[in-house]
Amino acid sequence: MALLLQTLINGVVVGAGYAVIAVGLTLVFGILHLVNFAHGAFFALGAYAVLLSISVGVPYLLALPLAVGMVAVIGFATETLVIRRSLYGVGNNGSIIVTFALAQVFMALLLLVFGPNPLPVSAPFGQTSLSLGNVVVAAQRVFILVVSATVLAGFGLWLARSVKGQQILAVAQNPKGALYSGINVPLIRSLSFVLGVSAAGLAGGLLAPIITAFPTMGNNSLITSFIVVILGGMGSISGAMLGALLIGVANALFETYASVSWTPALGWVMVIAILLFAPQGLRGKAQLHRY
Amino acid sequence: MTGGATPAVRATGIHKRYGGVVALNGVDLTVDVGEVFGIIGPNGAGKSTLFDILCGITEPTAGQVSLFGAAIAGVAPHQVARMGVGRSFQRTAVFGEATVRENLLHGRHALARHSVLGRALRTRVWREDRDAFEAAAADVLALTNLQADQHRLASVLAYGVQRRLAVAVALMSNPRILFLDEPAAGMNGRESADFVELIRAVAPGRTVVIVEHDMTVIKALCSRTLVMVDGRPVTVGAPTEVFLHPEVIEAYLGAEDD
Amino acid sequence: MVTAIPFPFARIVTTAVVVAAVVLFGMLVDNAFVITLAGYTFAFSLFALSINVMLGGLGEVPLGQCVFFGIGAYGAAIGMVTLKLPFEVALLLSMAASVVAAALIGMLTLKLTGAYFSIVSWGLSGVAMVAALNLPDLTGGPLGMFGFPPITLLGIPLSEPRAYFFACAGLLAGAVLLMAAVRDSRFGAAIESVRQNPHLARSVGVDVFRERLKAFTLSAPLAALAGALCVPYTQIVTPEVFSVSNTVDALLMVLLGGSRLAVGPIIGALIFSIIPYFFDMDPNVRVLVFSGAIILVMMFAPGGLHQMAQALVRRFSGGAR
Repeated sequence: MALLLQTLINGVVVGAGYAVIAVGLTLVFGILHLVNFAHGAFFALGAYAVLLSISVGVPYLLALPLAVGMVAVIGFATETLVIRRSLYGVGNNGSIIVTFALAQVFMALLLLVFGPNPLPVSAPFGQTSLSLGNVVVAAQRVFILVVSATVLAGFGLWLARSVKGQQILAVAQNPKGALYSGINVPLIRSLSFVLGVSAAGLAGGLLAPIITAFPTMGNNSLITSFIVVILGGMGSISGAMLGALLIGVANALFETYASVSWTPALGWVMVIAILLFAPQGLRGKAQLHRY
Repeated sequence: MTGGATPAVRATGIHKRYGGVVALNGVDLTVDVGEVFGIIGPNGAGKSTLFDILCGITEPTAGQVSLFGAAIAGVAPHQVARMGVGRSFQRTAVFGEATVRENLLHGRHALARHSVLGRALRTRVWREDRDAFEAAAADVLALTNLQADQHRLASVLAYGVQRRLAVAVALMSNPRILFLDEPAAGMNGRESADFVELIRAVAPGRTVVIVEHDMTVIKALCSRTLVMVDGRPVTVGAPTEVFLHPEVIEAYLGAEDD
Repeated sequence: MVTAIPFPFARIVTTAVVVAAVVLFGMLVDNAFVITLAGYTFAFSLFALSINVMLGGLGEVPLGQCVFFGIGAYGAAIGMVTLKLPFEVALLLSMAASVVAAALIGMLTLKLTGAYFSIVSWGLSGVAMVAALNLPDLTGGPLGMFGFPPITLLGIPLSEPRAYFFACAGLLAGAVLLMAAVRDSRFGAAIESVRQNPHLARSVGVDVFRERLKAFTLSAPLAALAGALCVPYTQIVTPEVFSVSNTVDALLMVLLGGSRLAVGPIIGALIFSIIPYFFDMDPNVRVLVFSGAIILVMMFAPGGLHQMAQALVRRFSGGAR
């Protein structure tokens, strides 16, 4: 019973991290109509950015926002230099190829700079953990949960209340209409992309102390984000959050009670099953919406 | 209206819902063989939904459609094509990356019988297909006045010419019935006059069902027309009568005391 | 009737020149490494052709096409080592297995299009790799399968560089002829119509799902053949054959050469193989350079070299084809 509870809690924590990535992916899909195969790469970049900052003496709690900033800059450069130029006007599969290739580029760069071995990322909470009854929760995991929830809530509020947030929703629902009402659509696109991939970067920085930094970490997170977003329904933010929790828990349960080495296949099997039998997901709709 | 003959199109009790939205709320209509039948109505009236259901692209939520006496419930769109149905759509009208001739070749697909091997070995079946295609293409190109453009890419054609090509593609399978969804949309006065001539030339020996906004086109071509408002049929009759119907006037121009 | 070069005469002449060049190359070049590498390039080109059936043909990005490549490689290996079959039989069996796999996978996944299809395709290759890693009795696990008996194809010893070169060239030529025949056929036209406008294709009577399935099951044995033919060169089969980086390589070949030209993938493959030969690249640098190249191609010449050439020709001839 204690094991089950422990597993569930781990699942929820990881799920919270996935939620952040998935909401970012949903944002990019909803505004740019881009299925961002490079999303996982930004996750990895976030993790390595934290690693880099720590290695030059920046404490973790500062390294995290710093890393997010770095990922944002890279994201901005990517959107301006590559995405904008290659994707509007090319046929439907252009975005898949370009973002996929971008992911390979980032991954190769990480491999060349940092090497293929997993590198530990030390977090300030070290080995401290909290115990609630029979269950032990690492402090880092609590931190992840708290930060993820705060960021998601803050983002939701920002979307609802701020001018830019409203503009983003407008562009998601009706790009032409938004353009005609004077919204700077290219700016919104750029902003959405940067926000979306920064979210992935944040998740990378949050999860790095737990899963260590390794160059192909992006692939695993990408797979999971796709599963989450598809399960939740492409374009639905709340669906993404719900899906993330479900997937986090399912993965944790499978890993604990079934087999560790087949776990990577679980994600793939799930995404295939969902796409075949319930492609609209839990809350799917064609466009981005808050609920 | 009809004698005992099998109508070209018979639709009874057509309803269509999308989730909570009712697009069609009980439509019955009959189109006689050889008629040119129009469907008009303001935006949101459900014309295109009805069109898609009548020509076999979508299934209705309730109701039956039969073409020349054969029910099309459960028949896949590509199979409906083989029943002698030619269709032209508003938005996905032509194969943009292909030339006019290649477009016509695609239109002929349902009638061709040869296989890959047949093509490679140039069998008799392949040659028959090819000759039949050449003959049909020559006729259709002449009819739609596209001979001069036959080697040009569809995407570089002027809009009005593209719509003509769409009709040409639908004609290549020598259909018994032609469904046209807003074929004259976006055409100027002269283009739509030319278009009316085209349909007049094409109509003999065929049934034509045409969804349109352009009243001039409807008046010039259709023997009868159905008016749709908010998913229901309001009236059906000759265009001149129908345009005088109070509900039709109200739907298009708004009620008197507003 | 989609043609790349307007006049049949030009086509015949070009083909003759290419064939002559290949034959001369095979007979005159003495460097065994170069000859074998060229043979391997031809074998891998088959995989690029397979990708192009999906990409240039159907307009889908088959990120997981390496599944069939892997089935070919493992089929050959398992056939030779475990089942003690001659290479030719193992080859045919693996191609048959790939067709069956494609039919099954296609039935399930070809209703999906675009990114959804690509994701599922990629997912399946991921599952395949995990399976290959975790079933050591069948696949040799992470270490893979090696120690093959001398591989001969219809009596031709593939360990002999020139023989390998001509065998691969011959099979590639056969595949290209097949692709050309398909392209000009009613089936090829149907696929084109599906790629350009599925809604309209359905409307003129094309059974879109069935044509997609046919194309998919056609692409699979090409990939399997490629996988099997790579075995004499690499002399080992590991779960890496299911890796998506193979797809990246093949994708680049297709993009470089142009997906609209039947031999585009082969042109891309040649360019692709020549570069590493002259620069001894770390595998990660290679991925970096090639993925970067894909991005550049997509940014500046999405139709590949062929599109650039065609654009130039069109500019000089005024717009008509």
